[in-house]
Amino acid sequence: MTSGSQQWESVELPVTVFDDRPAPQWSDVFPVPSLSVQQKELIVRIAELAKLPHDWDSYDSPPISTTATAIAFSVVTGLGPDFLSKVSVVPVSGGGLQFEWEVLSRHLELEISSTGAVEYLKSEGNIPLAEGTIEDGSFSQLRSLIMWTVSDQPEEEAA
Amino acid sequence: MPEQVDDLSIGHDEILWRRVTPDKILPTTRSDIPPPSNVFRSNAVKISVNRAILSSVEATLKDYPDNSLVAVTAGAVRDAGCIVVSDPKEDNPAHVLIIGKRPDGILTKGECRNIANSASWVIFRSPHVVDI
Repeated sequence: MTSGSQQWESVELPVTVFDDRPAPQWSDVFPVPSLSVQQKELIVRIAELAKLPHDWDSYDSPPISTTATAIAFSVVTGLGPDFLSKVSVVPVSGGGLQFEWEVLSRHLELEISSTGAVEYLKSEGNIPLAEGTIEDGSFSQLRSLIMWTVSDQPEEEAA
Repeated sequence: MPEQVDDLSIGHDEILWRRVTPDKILPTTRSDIPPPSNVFRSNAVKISVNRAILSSVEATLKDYPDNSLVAVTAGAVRDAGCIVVSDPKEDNPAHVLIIGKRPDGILTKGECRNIANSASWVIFRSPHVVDI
């Protein structure tokens, strides 16, 4: 795992493969061999979602923004595979992306808006417990939330 | 912008419909549990729904044959702390907006979760289910 003080901006971003820009330069190419299987699958998923057209949600949503896509990539590469085994990624109307961790009754949503704002929601048994923002791209705050999610233990059966 | 008020002509028991695009349905999404909260989430605009009493499943899904459909009552939306505002369009007189407590009216993530908890699938079309 990487250090807790790491931030979004410190992660090298793979900013290619998801739009119609010219062929990537060497500086843009992401070092795929260094990624885990989970990370590669998530990168592919995010890149696919980044191709969604205008009105993809049937409610006039813009495409997923390049800002949201870049931050999502940085979350995947910055968190490391240990924190990504129970996560899915879904698009959010308005041009954002959402990571969802679900372990037993605990659920964590991490939403990246089209402008790059990052919000979270912790739920247990589908009951919202806490929501807020991830300040300054703090991986340590995000890892703490994920640790809460995956630390869920099954309740003891009643005697 | 004038403050918008809850439209009490829309009864608590009235059913509101919202389409769900296949991209929002994961392999783990099931038809026998409430829909995911992102069905009611937008980080940019207010949430549009159709009043069932003024529309039909066919009309709501017209032009979107691969979409699913979820239903929630206006009362459940209000119980989540939100309001419903009639916003009829020329081509859709059933159009309603769900407005949250934030100043911009966009639903918070908790509001989305609570509304989704009370919602149910009317039509569930998973892109991950292959007919045999």
